[in-house]
Amino acid sequence: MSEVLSWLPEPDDSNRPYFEGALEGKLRLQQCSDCNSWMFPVRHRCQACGGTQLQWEDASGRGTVYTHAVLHREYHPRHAGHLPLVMAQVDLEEGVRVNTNLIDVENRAVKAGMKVVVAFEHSPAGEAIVVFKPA
Amino acid sequence: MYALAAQRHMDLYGTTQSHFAEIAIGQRKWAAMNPAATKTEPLDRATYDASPWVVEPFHVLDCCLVSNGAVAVIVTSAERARDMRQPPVYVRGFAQAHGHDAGRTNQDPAIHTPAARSAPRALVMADATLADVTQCQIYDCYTYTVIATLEDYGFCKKGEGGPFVADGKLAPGGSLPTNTGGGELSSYYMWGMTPIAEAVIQGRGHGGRRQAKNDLILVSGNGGVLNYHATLALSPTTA
Repeated sequence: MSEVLSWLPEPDDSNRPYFEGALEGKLRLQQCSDCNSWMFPVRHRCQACGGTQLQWEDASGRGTVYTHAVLHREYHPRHAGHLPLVMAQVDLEEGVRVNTNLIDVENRAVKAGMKVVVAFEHSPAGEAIVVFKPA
Repeated sequence: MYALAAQRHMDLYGTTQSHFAEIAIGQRKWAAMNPAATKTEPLDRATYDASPWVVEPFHVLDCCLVSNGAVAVIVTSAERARDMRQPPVYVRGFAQAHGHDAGRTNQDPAIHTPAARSAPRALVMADATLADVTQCQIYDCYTYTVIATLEDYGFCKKGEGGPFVADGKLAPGGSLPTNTGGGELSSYYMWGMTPIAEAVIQGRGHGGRRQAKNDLILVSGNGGVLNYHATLALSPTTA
């Protein structure tokens, strides 16, 4: 039997809620209890006010494309069968920018400002990856 | 991350693959006159277009080389430098400025870099303006980095860097000779030492066939993903 390759890094205590949220179909991010700003990636302090009280909350999953780039070559097992793969930075309604991939879109059609919503892609190993698709 | 930055610039301002190609091809022309350069064979647009995507919008030829080597620069007082075997190159101004990408949606770190703050300070120290600059040695990890830096330095308005370079002004015979050794794209990649080394060669007047007017040489260094920036103003004269 061939080994099922993982698509993800091994979650640790600092980021486990993000990956568990994805398995539940939720975009789960840290939010500052002091100023309500949202964080991505995992932070130890709020990037807006410096506060240390960051709680995991479910975000709206709605946003717009800030920018994107297109992979045409397989650099990782996950890329196989997914090329061309659109990498993107998405600006969430919550005011935070997330690094992600876009699915269900022709790469030539992607432009900054395009409205997108969160979606989840499942790996052969049973992992869930946060991606976005056209709204 | 640089490809994402470059695509943002394309989406906002209409910068094209042709603008990136212009930089890669122009620097290769300089490299052809540099005996120390790695890539000296002529580069045309068809070859650029045919080079594989590393990640679109960057072809292999939009990316710096991978090099083994070393560069050393001797920094000393002007008084001591007068007695050394090589002609001195004077540091007329220097400054650095650093940004931080906090991932907020109201920031545009891919477009507005700290270069916009470091260059004016370095020029004030040098008691000079952009109009006095006779050549540039711009950190060119990718073709896009050159466009973003020239804009932030104020050679053209933000967003106009593509058309600004399109007439070949950075290439041999152009009005703003830039990366005259071929840069990190065509000569060799020794991080920030690549532009500094070429600036010293040019400042000494040792550029041979590629020697450009060297009255005031603006040099840039860049780190992170366009987050950290340094500018040097070098000259063969003290004032």
